[in-house]
Amino acid sequence: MKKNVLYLFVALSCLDTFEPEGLQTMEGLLVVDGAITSGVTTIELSRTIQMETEWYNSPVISEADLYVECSDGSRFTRTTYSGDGIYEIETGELQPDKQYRLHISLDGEAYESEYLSPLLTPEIDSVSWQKREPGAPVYITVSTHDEAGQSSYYRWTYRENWEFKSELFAEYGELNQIEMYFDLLTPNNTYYCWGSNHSRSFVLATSDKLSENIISHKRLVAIPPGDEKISELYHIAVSQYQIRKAAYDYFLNLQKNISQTGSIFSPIPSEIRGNVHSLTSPGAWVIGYVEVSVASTKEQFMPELILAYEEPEKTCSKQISVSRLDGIIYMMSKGSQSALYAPRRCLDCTSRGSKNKPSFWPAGHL
Amino acid sequence: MKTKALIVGVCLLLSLCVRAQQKVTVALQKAPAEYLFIAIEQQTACRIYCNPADIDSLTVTVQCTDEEATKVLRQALQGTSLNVSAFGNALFIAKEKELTTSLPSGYYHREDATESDTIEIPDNLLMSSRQDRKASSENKIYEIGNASDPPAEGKVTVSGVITHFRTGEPMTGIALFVRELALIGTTTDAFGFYSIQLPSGRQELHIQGIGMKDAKRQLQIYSGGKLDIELEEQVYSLKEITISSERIARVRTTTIGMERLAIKDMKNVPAAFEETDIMKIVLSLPGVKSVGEASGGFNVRGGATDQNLILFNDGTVYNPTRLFGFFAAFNPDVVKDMELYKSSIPSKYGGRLSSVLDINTREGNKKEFTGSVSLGVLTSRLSLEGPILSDKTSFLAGGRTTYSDWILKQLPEKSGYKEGNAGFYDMNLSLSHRFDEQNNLYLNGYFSRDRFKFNAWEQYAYRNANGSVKWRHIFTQKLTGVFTAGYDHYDFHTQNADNPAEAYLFSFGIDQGFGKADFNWYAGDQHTFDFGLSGLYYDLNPGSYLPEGSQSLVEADRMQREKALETAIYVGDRWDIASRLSLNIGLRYSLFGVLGPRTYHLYEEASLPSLSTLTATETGHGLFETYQGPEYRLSARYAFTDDLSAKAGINSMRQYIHKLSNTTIMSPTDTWKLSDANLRPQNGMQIAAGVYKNFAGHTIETSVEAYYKTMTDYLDYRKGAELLMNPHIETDILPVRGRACGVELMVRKTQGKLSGWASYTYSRTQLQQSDPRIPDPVNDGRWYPADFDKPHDFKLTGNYKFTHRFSVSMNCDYGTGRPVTLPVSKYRMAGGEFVYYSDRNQYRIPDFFRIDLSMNIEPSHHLTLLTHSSFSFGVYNVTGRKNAYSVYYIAEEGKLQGYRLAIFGMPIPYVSYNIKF
Repeated sequence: MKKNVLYLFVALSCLDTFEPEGLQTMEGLLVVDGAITSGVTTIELSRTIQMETEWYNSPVISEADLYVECSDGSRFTRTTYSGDGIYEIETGELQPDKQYRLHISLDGEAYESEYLSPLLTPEIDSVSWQKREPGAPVYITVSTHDEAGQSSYYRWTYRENWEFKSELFAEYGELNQIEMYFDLLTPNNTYYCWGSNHSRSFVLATSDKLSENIISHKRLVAIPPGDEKISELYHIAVSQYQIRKAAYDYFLNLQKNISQTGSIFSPIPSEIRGNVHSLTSPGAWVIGYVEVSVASTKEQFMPELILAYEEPEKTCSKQISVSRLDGIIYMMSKGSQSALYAPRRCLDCTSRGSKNKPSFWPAGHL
Repeated sequence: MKTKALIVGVCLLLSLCVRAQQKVTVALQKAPAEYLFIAIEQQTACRIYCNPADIDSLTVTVQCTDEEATKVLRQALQGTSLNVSAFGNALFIAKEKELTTSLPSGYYHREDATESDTIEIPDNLLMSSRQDRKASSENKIYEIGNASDPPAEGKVTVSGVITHFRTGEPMTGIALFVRELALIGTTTDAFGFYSIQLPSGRQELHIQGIGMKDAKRQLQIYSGGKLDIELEEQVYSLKEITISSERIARVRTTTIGMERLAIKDMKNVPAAFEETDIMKIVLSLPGVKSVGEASGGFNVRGGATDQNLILFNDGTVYNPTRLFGFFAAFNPDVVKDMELYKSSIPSKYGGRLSSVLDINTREGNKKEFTGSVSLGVLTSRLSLEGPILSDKTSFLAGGRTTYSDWILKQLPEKSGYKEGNAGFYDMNLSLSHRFDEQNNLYLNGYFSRDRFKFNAWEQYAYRNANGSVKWRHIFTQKLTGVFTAGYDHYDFHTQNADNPAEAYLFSFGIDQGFGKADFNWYAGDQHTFDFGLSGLYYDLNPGSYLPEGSQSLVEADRMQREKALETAIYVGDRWDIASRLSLNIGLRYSLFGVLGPRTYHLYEEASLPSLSTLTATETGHGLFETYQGPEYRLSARYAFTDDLSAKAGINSMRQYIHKLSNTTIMSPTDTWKLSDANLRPQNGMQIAAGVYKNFAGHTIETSVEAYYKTMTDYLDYRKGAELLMNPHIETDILPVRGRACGVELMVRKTQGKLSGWASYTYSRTQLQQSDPRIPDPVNDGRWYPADFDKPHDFKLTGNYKFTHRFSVSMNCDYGTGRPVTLPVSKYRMAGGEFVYYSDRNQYRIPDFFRIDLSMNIEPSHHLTLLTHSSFSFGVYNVTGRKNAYSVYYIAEEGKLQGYRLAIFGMPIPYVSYNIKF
């Protein structure tokens, strides 16, 4: 509701991009991202940077020493560093009657998360989609329920893959900085492409106001009806975590701080402490909440989304030209006769995706 | 009636003319009547006065030689509806009624008045159709009391009612004083009632009021008595009549930090959307701030938005805005005036820490049916008023509606709000009845409803309803009582069916009933007492969350209702110690009782309430928790001269109802909470002092006021607080203390072609989470600026009248940018970019600056016209400056971006057309 009121004002008002000057900024707080789960626990470590610093200048933490500790005294120390501050710890099967915590040693400091017992996340009931009316966005939704009812709070992450193709087929052009004749039977073409994306924020829901612990059609992704994501074939892999209220409140606050500030009815931003604390500098602020939860996953292709696709008007056929435009080397045909040219976006799908076809993709073309 | 007023004005100028040749010779055949008048004026010393509309296309046939002009005129106009009246050399031609121009019989027979050296214009020239004798003449001598009584020692009481000459409406805030007796004066109350102590003998009583013609009355006082006075409106077309306001009152009263504005003063202030907006005018006064445009609430001298008591005809208004703050809740056609108390709050008011905004509607016209219609681009209004029983009962009804759906239609296609609609309407009805001179009864009703819907699944609505009945009784000339009872209601609901499984209806409501008795006792020479008692019964629905539709899995949840009784007794004395020194001493004692049955939690004393420190849950019955305490209201005034005074005062206030909101402004989804076993009342104290000086014959008022204020148990919220449907809200709030100080400079010009006010304020407002039990206090427990801490603030509101009908108004507003909280660091998590916040309110948005202009065309004063129309055209934010409302970062698709939001970042033109009939 409050968000909508904001939109009404935005329609009458002006929203300009703006970089405040003279901001007092700081850097260097430890950020711990990840949850202890069965199998392999993935933890990403990083540090906060100043607001005006570019991301490529952010330091990478590669020297940390991590392990997961169980309340029975055992430690899971088989940790591998896989680059970009990402650490993988083999934790095996978590025991519901034990508690687990993460331990980090870094730059002479030690950090620890709170001991928590694992939440056994229920299975995902379904991943489906909905579209209210022509022109409306397509929502990919998830539904679940938990009769055991350990917790009524949930978090999801997802990874989506899709196939799409360029509007026109080019016989000749540039691929991987090499000019070549294209071939649909090999990956040497710019006709078929694959795109991928992953969740970029906290997707959270709770059933605490409902009479049953049911999450019905929680929206994960909104896809505009004319998005080429759903033009050919779409696949989504969803991971579901049941979480505690404290984790929910923590993540929701982080999410609000980057989505609901500044508008007319926005709450004043604030920071909540997570469950990771420094053992060596008590009171130091550490960002992150390390939940202990056994994830459940579901992945599926959604070929029926083509029904929801509203193809934008095709304009490329009108832009075919016999003269080569500046910088365009893509040709629809290169024969002995006159060649035909079209704008790159009509012929080259790699500007919006890649040729990296996922290994599990069912289509035969490359 | 106005015609007569004009004639009288002219009479005053001409009545000294020498009687001269009166005979005329004329021969006219079917000639325009004007020709005859010209002929008479040429041949005699007579002057003829008439309304040109009356003689339009009237022809006369006259044949006479050397005849009396009066006779000739009468003959010529025979058979028309026009009558001729002669007074000296002046001949008045008027419709229907012959004016009586002789002096009232018995006037010269009164022994005491024979020495009158002024020219008497008889009362019944004005009032020939009225039976009541009201003092409406400036030069006549009015006898007060009985001449046969022994001459009174010292001062005697004169009281009465001041009413509007044309509508019979009582006039509030009219100053009465005797110029020679420095500093004797009073002002009329909300019922137009006054009571003044005057020495016996001959006195000249001056009467001045906003927008009214200055008047005076010659009194011959024998003993205490009654004098009702009718005041004329200032009439633009006569030059010698001046406009004045309560300019003397400002220097003279003991009140500090009080602003009174009549609707007339507000009408010419440029508005954002075509309508006189009381809330925006309040914001143009010194010491009043808001966090930004289109924000519903206002902050007075460092107070929070819930610390203002907004009264509309005695009823409390919890949500004073319409349509997200675009409009005020009050229909300008029915409003009479508003008073804002920023510092000296009369002891009869209580319950809020910072200010009282008292808005009253007019009484209906007791003499004739009138009405007005206003057409605008966004709203339309209609009001009707008139007598029900002549001179006894009148009504005033007003209605307003909007057709703002087009705003939503302006939204971009992809916003998905094309199906949205929004609107509001409100209705007012006031009835007043006069039983006799001692008893008056007033009934007021107000109802409003706002709704908005952004799409088919989500809607929002709120309602205000107020009803009150008021009986005013004059026990004796010195003692009056007002007895009021009423009921107020506010509720809102939000409905969301976007996901059928989670579809809900959330509602919140406040019901309150009140009764009060207020007395005013003019106890002799030096003391005027106000005293009374009041009771206010609250019944809140703190929230109910119910399933909506058959598919909804929402579990019905109803919070237990909160009930409480707030009672108060008060006494105030205005003590005129000496003619130069006055004191206002007030004491209010309030008692707040929490009523059961209600369950509540007990917590460990040593730490802040939280679910982990909960020790017990109990059920309270009856009056299970009380808070009580005295509130002091003291102020003193020393007048050096009649245009220079100094004042100082101290005030303390208590507040038992709190708004729950962690947004910076008043939002339409804010709920309110009563003090209870775990929530203490807020306390506030303010010390203020000021110097007031009038210049240029009281036409320019200046003042400097300074204040220092402290507040305790001001509410703030814990991190991640859940404010809705929280049965243990005490675990999500924090007590905060506040301090504010400031200096307000103001210049106001009330008279002449240029009028308006300019003010400059320097003020600071800071808050602190000082409670040692708070684990991570905001800004480490240091003082930090409040959201509306805008140190420099300059405001100018002016109107320049080029002619009596055409004027231009300007509104100018400059303020330091408000503090906002911006992130200090950023990081990546969960696949996206996030930010880290540290200290609160450490960054300021760019300064605010805005100019609005409007052009107003007043109605023609041609009195025979059936309707009078006025027209105004204006532009809000002429310079189109994109004043930042806020500066913030949000992440879209996982990417952070800084934004600046300007609410009205472009010039907004408006037009409105108003018809009075």
